[in-house]
Amino acid sequence: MRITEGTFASGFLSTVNRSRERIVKLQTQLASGKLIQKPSDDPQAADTILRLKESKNLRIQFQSNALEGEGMTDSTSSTLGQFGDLLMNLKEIVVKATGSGNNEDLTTYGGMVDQLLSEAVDVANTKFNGKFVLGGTQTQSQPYTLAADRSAVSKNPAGIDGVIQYQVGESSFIQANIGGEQALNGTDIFDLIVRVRDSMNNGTFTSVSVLDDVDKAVSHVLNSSSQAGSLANHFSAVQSNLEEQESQLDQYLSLTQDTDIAEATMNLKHEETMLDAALTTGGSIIPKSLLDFLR
Amino acid sequence: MAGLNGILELAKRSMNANQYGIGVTSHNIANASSPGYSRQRLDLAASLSEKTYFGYMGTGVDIQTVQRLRESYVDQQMYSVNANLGQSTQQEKVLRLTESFFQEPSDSGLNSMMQEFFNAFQNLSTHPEESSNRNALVQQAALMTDSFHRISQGINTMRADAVNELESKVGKVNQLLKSISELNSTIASSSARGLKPNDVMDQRDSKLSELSKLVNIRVNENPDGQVTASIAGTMVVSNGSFTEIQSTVTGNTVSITAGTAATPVLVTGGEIGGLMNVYNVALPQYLAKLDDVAEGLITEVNAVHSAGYGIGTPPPTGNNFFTGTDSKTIDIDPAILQNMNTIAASKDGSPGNNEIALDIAQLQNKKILNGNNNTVFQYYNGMVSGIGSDIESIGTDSESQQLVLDQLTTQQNSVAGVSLDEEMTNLIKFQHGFDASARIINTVKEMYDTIINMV
Repeated sequence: MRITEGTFASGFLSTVNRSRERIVKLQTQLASGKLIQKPSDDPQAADTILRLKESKNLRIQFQSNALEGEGMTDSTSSTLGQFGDLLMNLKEIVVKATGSGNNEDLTTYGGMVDQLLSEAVDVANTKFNGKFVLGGTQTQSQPYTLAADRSAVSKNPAGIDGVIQYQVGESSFIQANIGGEQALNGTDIFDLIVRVRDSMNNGTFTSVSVLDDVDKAVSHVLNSSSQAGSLANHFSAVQSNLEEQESQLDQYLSLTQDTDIAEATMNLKHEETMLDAALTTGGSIIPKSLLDFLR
Repeated sequence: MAGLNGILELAKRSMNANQYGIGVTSHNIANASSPGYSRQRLDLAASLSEKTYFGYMGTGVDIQTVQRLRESYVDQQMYSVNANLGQSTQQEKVLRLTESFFQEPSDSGLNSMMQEFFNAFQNLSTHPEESSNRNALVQQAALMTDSFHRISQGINTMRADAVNELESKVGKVNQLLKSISELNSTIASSSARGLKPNDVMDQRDSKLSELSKLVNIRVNENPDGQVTASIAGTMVVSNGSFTEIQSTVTGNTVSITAGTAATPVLVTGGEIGGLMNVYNVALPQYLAKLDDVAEGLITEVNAVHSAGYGIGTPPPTGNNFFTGTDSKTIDIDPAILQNMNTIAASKDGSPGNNEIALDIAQLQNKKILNGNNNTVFQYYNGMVSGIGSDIESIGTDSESQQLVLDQLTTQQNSVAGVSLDEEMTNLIKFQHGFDASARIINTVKEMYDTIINMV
């Protein structure tokens, strides 16, 4: 084939150009640390990256949900624990009162129970993070109200039994509250306290009639408390599980999108060598012509 | 002929021929790097010999013609490769810009925005009564709708730009057609006088090559040196005339027509073909998919949202979350912007109920698009990677076309390119020829002297 200066020049230019293109690409990969800048660099990998990121983002969200849930259920558990303690106090008072036949003493005990009633209502109206923990889904209204004449405790007429669930996985939800209806049997326990107080005050008190009920109330409330505690544990276990998944996803993500520095550096060096070679040979061959040898 | 006068005449013609040779060589050297220049060659031949008693006697040299060396078959190939290359580079340019609007895969892409939107509903589900969560949700939703607007506006601007560029390229085509037609008549009139207008032909071939980058053309050369050119079967340059083309946008498509004919010319290549494809097919397709995503979100979120309750006495219900129907019009319902407590998180109206917020968050994994086969994310990711593969395949295509073009250029160069080594050799050859011819004249002169001195 007849080779002309033009052949040399265009061949040389396109080789050098292609080499420079590859070098620029490798340099971008090294400088940004990312193998893929835009979907067209590798459409399949871009799809994978988007999928993994979506998944990772969700994991992070679920973790934050679970953390909220843990706080909610923890505080429910401790609120019910406190309530249980109060009932234990009530039991002590009832036991003490059983021994005394004296009406005056009974009135004193009645006063103690009345005091305890106020405390119980306060505890049942505990707020955590802006929500009444025993209010069910009526988190903004006080679940229990002690009547002005202290004759009875009433519950929020809108109900105190709604269930709130938090999402902690694609299809897993955990209950994040225990409403008063379930935890305190509605107003049954308050009714019991009122009944004990009134019987002490009007002298009709007999231990037999209430001790059993108080025991039942204590065990019910402590049960609810430990139920809330196990929900809190569940939330916390889910969190560490999600953390693990997140770090797994991070690994995959890094494998797909991050530049292998060693490999890219090697390739870059290789390309540089190739470019050098092209430039050197081009530089020595192209300027040569017959002219150099005439005269 | 062997008379002294005859030899003198012969030597004179020989000097002339060598001088022309040097002229052609200089022309070649001068144009060694002019684009589109084809090497020229002085065709010499021995002139008719004379019959003598002793047989045929040579009478010297005749200049036949100045020949232009060019492979017209390779040119034809180049026109079609030019058209392919022009089309794919143009498409690639536009699609790469389009791709950049999506900003994927990054944290500012629509994918992340949609994720954050759903996350905001998750956050609302943990504290439906908090106004800070409602605030955050509205902000995320606004960021997401902004992303939709930005991308759809970007694509629409891209389309408008494509039409503008198309129009300017159509103008360029018409200019080229005009000058090709003018060069054609110059060539025809020279040919009629028996002359070969080599450099004009080079000029015309350059114009044809430029034209072939803009549209797909077929070129035929007539015996008189004129060319006819057609675009997809429609004649645009014929003997002595040319037909202008124009672009028209009707509805949502752009088409090219030639002259007064109403039927559109099916341009399938060149930069104009690329722009038409981008305007008529690629960009509308991406926009339609983006609209699908927006529409899916609007419909599904609204359906769940309007069944829920916000916060208030009585709790507001029956409100939509989004207004609009596509990626351009998607927006947050003004009622929500006015009062964020209108956002429905509750299914029964109690402020702590979060079921609606959770239900909306679940839409993230609900298959609502592509005939209920894809989630919003699958569909969107598929579309983004689809644009990526479109660009990748066009890029590969233009790379291979470029290689073919390089190959063809080399091939044409081996015929039409000027080799300085060769020209230098010719220069020496012609110079020596010239010198030797002059020596003959000198010899004849001495012979005349001898004869005259004899007297």
